[in-house]
Amino acid sequence: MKKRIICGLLAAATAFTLTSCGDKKQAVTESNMEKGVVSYPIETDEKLTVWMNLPGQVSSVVSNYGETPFAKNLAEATGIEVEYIHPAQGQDSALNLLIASGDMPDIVKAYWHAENPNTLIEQNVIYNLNDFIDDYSPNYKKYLEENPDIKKQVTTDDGYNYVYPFLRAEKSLCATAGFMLRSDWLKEFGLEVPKTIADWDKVLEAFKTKCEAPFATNRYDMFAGGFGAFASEYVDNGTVKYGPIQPEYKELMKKLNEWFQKGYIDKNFAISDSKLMDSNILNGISGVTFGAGGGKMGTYLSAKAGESFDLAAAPYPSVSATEKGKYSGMEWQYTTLGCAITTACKNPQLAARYLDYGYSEEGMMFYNFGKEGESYDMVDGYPKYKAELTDATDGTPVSQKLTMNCLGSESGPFVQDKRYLEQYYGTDQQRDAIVQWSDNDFYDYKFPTVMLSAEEGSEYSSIMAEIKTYVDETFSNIIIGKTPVDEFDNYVETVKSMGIDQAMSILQAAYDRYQNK
Amino acid sequence: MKIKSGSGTGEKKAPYLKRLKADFKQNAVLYLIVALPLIYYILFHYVPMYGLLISFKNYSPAMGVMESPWVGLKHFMSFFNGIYFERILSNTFRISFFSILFGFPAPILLALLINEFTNKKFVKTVQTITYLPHFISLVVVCGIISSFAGSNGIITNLIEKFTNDNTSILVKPECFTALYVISDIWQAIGWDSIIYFAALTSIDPELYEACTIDGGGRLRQAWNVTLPGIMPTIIIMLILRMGSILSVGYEKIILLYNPLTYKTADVISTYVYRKGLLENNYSYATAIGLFNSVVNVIFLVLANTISKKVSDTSLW
Amino acid sequence: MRKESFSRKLFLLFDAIIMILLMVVCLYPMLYVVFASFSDSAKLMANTGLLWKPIGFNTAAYKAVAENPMILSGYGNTLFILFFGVIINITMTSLAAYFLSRKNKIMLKGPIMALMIFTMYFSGGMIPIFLTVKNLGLYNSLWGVILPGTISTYNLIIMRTSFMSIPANLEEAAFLDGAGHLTILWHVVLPLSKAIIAVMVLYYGVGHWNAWFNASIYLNDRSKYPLQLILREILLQNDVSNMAQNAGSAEIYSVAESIKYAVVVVATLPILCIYPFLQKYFVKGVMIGALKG
Repeated sequence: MKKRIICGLLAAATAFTLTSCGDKKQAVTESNMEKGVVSYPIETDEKLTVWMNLPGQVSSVVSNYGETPFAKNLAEATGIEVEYIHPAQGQDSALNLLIASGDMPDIVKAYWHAENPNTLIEQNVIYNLNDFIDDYSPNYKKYLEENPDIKKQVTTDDGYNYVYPFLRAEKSLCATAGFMLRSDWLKEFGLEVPKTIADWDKVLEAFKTKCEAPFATNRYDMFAGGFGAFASEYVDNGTVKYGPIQPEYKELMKKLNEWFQKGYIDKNFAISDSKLMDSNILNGISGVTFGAGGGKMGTYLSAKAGESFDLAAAPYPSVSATEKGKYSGMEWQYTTLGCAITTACKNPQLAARYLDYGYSEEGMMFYNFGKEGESYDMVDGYPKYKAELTDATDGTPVSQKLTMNCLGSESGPFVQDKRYLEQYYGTDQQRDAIVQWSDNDFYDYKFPTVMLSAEEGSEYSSIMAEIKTYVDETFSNIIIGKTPVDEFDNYVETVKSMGIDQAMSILQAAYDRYQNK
Repeated sequence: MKIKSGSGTGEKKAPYLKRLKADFKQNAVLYLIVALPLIYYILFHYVPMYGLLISFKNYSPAMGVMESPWVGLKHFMSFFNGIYFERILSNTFRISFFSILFGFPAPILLALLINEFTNKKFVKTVQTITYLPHFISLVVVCGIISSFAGSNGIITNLIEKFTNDNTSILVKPECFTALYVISDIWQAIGWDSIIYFAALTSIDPELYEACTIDGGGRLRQAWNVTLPGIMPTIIIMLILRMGSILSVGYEKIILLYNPLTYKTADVISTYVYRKGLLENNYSYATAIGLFNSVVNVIFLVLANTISKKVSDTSLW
Repeated sequence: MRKESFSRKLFLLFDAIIMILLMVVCLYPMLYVVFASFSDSAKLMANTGLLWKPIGFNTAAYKAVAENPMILSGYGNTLFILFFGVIINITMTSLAAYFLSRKNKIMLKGPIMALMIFTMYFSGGMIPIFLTVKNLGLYNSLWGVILPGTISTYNLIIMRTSFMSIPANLEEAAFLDGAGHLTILWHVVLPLSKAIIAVMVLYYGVGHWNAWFNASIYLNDRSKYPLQLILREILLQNDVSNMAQNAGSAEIYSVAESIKYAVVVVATLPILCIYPFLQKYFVKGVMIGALKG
């Protein structure tokens, strides 16, 4: 009995919160805020609440982002006081709990790919920002008009704006990981940085004479481009296809099996963790690895500074030397991370003004580099971080210092500037790496960030979770030769029987909706 | 007290509610004693129980449990019809079976072996040291396992000396169950023996004396006094263990398995983890959780019934 | 008699050898953790064999842990949760176990037991429990971390089993002397159950000490975070595999490996110090038999 009563109460409470949200929405339409372009700081007494993860780089020195110099400067620059609310780090369901609780802040910064913002707007959880952007976010509006391809990515199927996104200004910022190999060994053998699989064959053969197993990685799928194959879903002339069952993929597996037999690939590659790979590459047990330009390449180079050890980034492989690779590990400029305004916000116009700041010229500089004179100086038109910020010799990590003073190396409602990375990456090899890794045509084939409805999403994930397991398993077993390459046709049949066509048709429908936006 | 229970059975024909009323009156204090715990259970366990509904729905946090659309048995069906259903079910049972077969008696044996010593300092040292592994977090335990059994780990090197093959046991599907069970025993043996040790200390020393006077040796003492003394504890623990037969934890497996060992290592919980939790698919995760619970309860009831018949020890 | 004592000696010898082997197996990984926590991460990474002493001795990992301003408040919060949590746990579990261990006929005893066991297997799931805690006004309060775990049914069953093994004649004697149930519980049952209560304090206490998940959901004010949650964050922050935000700097990485182990040491040491104090109650448990005689 009691249980039922309380259930009823809960339902009533939920209903109440929903209706009260609706009321608020009507109330705000009578705002008397000035429209169009205004200059910051804005004069207001109202405060906003922002829900976001506390960046891990600063969590050991502040307990709330509001305590950082950047947050204080930002409040001064925009004229708007902000109270930050942080969920526990690593709490994957934080956003779900927040939405379920109905106890929303004004602004939520999160990754939105797992949710369907279109539904959230229809359910009156977050605002459709179209009108707010038109009237109160002239900078962002201008940015969208100038970048129609970005506009397509950040709106829902119904054309709603739901987010003030975190965007990377250019392609090279999206290529943060890739292959790297010992350039001092290359020089020794008189070889060039490999581009095609034939080049790789030569390099590996030479490297094998220098070390135990040339490869220290388990990202062999990243060689797919060398065979014109794809390791994920991709778009081929408007048709969505699943890469690992295309005939080209068989060639990749065949080659990898050959490399395994020749001893280029470590017998225990399936369990090689990053710790082991680091140690292998640093100690000359291997000569090729796959990883991030900062966390891996930067670490290796600084650990071996002053020795003959040197690294060079290799581009993602392509079919021939004259073509660019079709497949890579590049991300989109918009990764679905961004700030939405919730219907609990009493003054969404003010929130729209606040969030627009990062897309103005002044705001972009501010978010990327902090306050001029305090965290950076303008040197010949180039924003140079203060020397003490990019120097880690006092024991405080650079990433921590930067995130205390700006969000350039983090994320937020602004467009990320390439010049941050140029200074963040300490070596020429790293700066060259982002050029190499972004030198491919993957964007022509990469499946876009689409929105799936709840039913589509659950069906898709249901089918794909099984398929991915099977594909991973077969891939590894073919490499080590436990499953012969000739089994490929059976493998394709099995994947089909697991419902790959249905999964791809879900993506195709979403893709078509995306194209017709 | 015997008399009271006798009169209770005598009133068999009285209507249930009337008997209940009399019962309330008679045991008023006892019911008062259990009132607080009962309120706790209702408040924190039964009120949220409506959440189980989402296994028959497509749950969306914004709509809430009640408003989310019904989908019937869809999630259950997609689980049963998946091509991996048989594999993960048999892997789950296999790992669980060997865990019980070897993992359950191990702490009992340890408690008995420790109990043989009369030197208190030694006893204390053994106890304190054997429960240490319990406190090491799984991430670290798996890290240690991977580094010992990985490519250049000492275990792999040792095997290489005998077989001339430096393939790590971590990539051999046939080794996974043993790896799982042994590391489990290592981590839990000391901690789990605490409860048996507590049971051992409450055995009446007079019983031992009586046994010695009867001319019983140490072995007979163990068989006739010690074992019966801790038997109720053993049986209750075994029943409870049977009730978690499908609950093979996913954290350790996720940290230790790889595509080459999926064949023997993939269990229900890792499957749910991949399929449900990684994509925040609560409905699916809840549905399989529900299936898990039902199977577990069946085993619990089964074990309890057998135990009731054979040894007169029962959970309820 | 002579012959038997020889075989007994042989048995004890074997027994002792087994125990010593077991101790080595259990102790070494813990020593490994301690050594690793004092080691240099880069050298630790390169090392594949056994560790017999810290390699490249340094205390950077401990420094990194200690520099975190929240460690102290974390200890405070954990002690608060531990202290009040265990008192509530033991009180409520004893009450329930006393009721369930009565041998006389109580009509609802069976159903109540079933009701409690049911919750071991079926739960509403994270979000409904979260909403309940929130509706009770416990959100963002340490009580919200403590109360949902008031009784562990598993521990309840252990305690009930132990209560049931207390000789009935002791209780009946007290009953005939005119003692009520609460008096019997306080003056007869609990004093005779010191061993099991010590075990319960240990089980619940370690549970509270190691818990972080509830706190991560129910608390949003970081000054209320318990120690484990903070340590977990330190771990996550140094999680090498978590390279999603294109981390560019090398220096965080240099303590990452050893910090993992330092965190384990910091998080485990205090609870290890408590155990010996509880252990003496196991020994005292032997008294039960003496009392009865």
